[in-house]
Amino acid sequence: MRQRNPTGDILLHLLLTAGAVTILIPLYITIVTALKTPSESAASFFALPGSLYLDNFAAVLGKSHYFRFFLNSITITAVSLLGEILLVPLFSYAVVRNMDRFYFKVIFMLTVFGIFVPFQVVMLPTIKLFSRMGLLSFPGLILLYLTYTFKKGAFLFVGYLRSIPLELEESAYMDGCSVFKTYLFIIFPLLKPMIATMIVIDGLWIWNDFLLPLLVLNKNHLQWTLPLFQFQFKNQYTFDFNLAFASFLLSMAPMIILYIFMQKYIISGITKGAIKG
Amino acid sequence: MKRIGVVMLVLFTGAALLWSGGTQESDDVITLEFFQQKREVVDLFDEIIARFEAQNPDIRIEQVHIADAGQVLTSRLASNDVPDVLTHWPNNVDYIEAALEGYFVDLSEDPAAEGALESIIESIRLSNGRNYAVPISINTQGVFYNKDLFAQHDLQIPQTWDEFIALCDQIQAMGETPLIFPDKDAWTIGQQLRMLLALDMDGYALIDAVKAGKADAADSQELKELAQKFIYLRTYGQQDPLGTSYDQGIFEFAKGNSFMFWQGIWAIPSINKANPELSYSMFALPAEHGRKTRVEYGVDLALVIGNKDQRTIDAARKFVSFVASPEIGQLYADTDGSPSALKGVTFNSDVSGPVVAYVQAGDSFRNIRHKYAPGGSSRSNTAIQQYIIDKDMDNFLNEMNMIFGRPQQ
Amino acid sequence: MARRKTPAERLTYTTFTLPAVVLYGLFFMVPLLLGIYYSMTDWNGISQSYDFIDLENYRNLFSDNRVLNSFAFSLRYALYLVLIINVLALIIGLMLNANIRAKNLFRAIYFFPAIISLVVVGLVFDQIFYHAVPRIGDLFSIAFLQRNLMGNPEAVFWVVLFVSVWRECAVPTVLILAGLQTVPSELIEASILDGAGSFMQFRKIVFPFLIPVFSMNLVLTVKSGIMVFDIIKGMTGGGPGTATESIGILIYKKGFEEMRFGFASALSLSLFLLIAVISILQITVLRTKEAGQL
Repeated sequence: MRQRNPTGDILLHLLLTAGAVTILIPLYITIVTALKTPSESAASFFALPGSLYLDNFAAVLGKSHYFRFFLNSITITAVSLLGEILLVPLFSYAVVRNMDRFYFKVIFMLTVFGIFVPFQVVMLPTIKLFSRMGLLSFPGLILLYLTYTFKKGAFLFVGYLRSIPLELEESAYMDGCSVFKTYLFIIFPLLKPMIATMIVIDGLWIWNDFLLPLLVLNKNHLQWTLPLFQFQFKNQYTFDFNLAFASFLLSMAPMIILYIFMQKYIISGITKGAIKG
Repeated sequence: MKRIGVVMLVLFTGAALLWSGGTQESDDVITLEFFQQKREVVDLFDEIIARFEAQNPDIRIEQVHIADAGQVLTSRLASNDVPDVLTHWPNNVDYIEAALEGYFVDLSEDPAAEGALESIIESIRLSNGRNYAVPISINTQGVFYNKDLFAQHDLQIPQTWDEFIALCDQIQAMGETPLIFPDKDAWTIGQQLRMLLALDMDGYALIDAVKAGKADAADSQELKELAQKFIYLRTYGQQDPLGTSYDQGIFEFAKGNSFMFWQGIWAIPSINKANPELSYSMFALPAEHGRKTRVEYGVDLALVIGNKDQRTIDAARKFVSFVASPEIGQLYADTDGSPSALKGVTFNSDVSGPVVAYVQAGDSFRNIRHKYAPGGSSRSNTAIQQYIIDKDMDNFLNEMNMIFGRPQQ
Repeated sequence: MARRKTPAERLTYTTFTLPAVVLYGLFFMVPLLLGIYYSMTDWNGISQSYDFIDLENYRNLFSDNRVLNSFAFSLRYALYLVLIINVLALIIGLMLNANIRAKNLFRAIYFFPAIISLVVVGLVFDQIFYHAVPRIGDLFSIAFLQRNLMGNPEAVFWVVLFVSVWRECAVPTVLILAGLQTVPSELIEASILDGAGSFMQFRKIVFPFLIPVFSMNLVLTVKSGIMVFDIIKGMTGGGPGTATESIGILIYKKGFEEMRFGFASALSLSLFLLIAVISILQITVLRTKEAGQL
């Protein structure tokens, strides 16, 4: 055990607290503003609300299909992630075991190269293509997310797989296992840490994404996601910013609740794949 | 391999099922997508739609008002997926390009457009001689003023530029804020630039000359003075123009934090929303250099029908005719505070009346933006905002040359 | 040594890649090739016909002041973002790794910004800078703060940077923290017995273990710095004037506001080249460094 230095200890806590306050102030303001009436906000922007005023939330829920949007966001995120778990590690495994072959090398390079392509290059052509294929819809959006997860996903999984010793699967082959069975029973379980990482990183990205749902789902507002709803709401109720803040809070709420209960797993998930013990 | 196939299949069927859980409607009811771009009138259109649907049980209208509407519409048109009915601004470059490209129904001889005033349709006819829009309202701009504050301090409406400046001085001397400038949103400054180009100088002639390669904006003394006027006027503004957005500007004026607010009449519904009790009206911004005071006008909102299958077009036509009827036109004009582009609608807004009187008397000029080179509008917004910041006249004049469409060497 | 693969196995491996090849090929490579093609046309984004104009858009890029301005902005912005985030992540990571009370609570708070959507971050800070910060300025009579910093062309750079750091520091910090867990505690104790100073201890013993995480952080922050779009779009839209006009914002304006989609595509592809070159350089340099250290 390291020796404790009391002055250093206090300083450390002070610094950490200062940082934590900086991080939490926007959240604090969001919460108190959402709970105030406009006149309370005008009187003081920072003060706690005088009473527990919940009408803003009632108004937001009354003026929108909040629960529908919430369900849409969950569906899109969950199905995209499920697809990613099924396909990306499989692809990466094939690539890693065949890096000496031209085909695998090229497709791997192409996916990694995608990381650097700004979305604006492909934006209009993609929407054009999806429209022609009748894919401007839920399944289309999910396919698009799935496609984009290959970029970073393949890069990270291939890196991770490289660190897994070959001997493990050699013995499985000796026992007569097929390539697929070896992957499924030997390799896939080993990939859990990296999968956890991808679920957290891509889950946050898909859940919070604004532009793709805007472009793909604009037609039918019953298909909207929470970020779309929230931007929309702010646009329309711009003069009633207590209401706008209530909508911010409501669109953040599911993620915050999930985070409160799962923060240990979420934070360790991010790092699991990144650090090869 | 099979297993993966099965899992994939289950996955995507699942997604497809979830997605198709939407509404199924019977064959005799048609639902139209109404792509509504004007934020200020969303609530108004909800009401209009309710009335329309009550009369037409076989047509449902779904108003879609979305963030970043311009970007969304471009992506929709790029993929040849035009909405059924939409609101648009007939002087915008994206409207003109899309109409010429054939995305909208030609309404030149269409009965749906009969409700609109011919003279106004004439002003939005495109280069091919056709018209694709049913104009609903006219916009203009001027100076909003807070009636209560004016009465309280016994202030008079200025008739000349000198009186206007004297008024500003007087208000400032009382320790109050004469004007509010929402300069954080560049388009609000660009709007002022377009107006002054025709009010304080002969911008039309200058643009024609620059386009023809016969003049250089950098040589125009009038243009230089006009740019300097932007800096000068801001000495009468609130403390922090560049930190104030359009919404915040409206909010400040509506709360009585400034005596005046130079803005387009499209701000009226928002001002009413921000403070329903505010008592306010408008006057025309006086011209400088002894020129006659006139006001700008332009078609504000217009309805456009997407070029689709006949059944959709027919239903859309019904809706457009309904909105363009005198009764609904009246409702729109009264709520929006704008003069109507429709026949049989009387104008009775107290707020914008004094400015609209100029349009009615013919003391007006058409919004100059249609003379700009394509994309010039957006570019001029940034250029004038940048000038206010760095006062770099050379850079500003050079940009104006591009915006006016000077031929490239 | 890897075992030789049978033809059947090779076929299986190839099958594994098929979903990726179909999805990625169709939904990414095809649009990408189309985008490259459009960058050589005068397409306005919506017309059905357009002209092939060769490399003219690319030639025009470098004669446009706003393009040069946006490259300067993005590079400067990326430089500061990379420096601040990586230093801050390291400091916070070390502090959180120390033997402190409420460690988990602090860790949870410091990761919090990563779960909030950029749209909300932009909108909330927009309100804070308009309503809240000037009141602090009034309270303490700091003239500089009494105005909305987002309207101040000098300060707005730092405002946007601050919000980006606020939001984007979380993941690098957590990664550093995880990297620190890989440092064997015996090594640290041994160095304490040897009487090494804290800085020496950090440099010689701890830092080598952090190099892999560090290089990952570097590559990620450089990329997100140069490509910055969402935060600026949500907060300033590139303004005031052109003060925060990043390459991403300019692409948006040229493409959707001026309807010069061909030009915007050429601009995005040059952004791609910039990022690709920088990242490859970075990775090469870091690889050699890494190899030298271990």
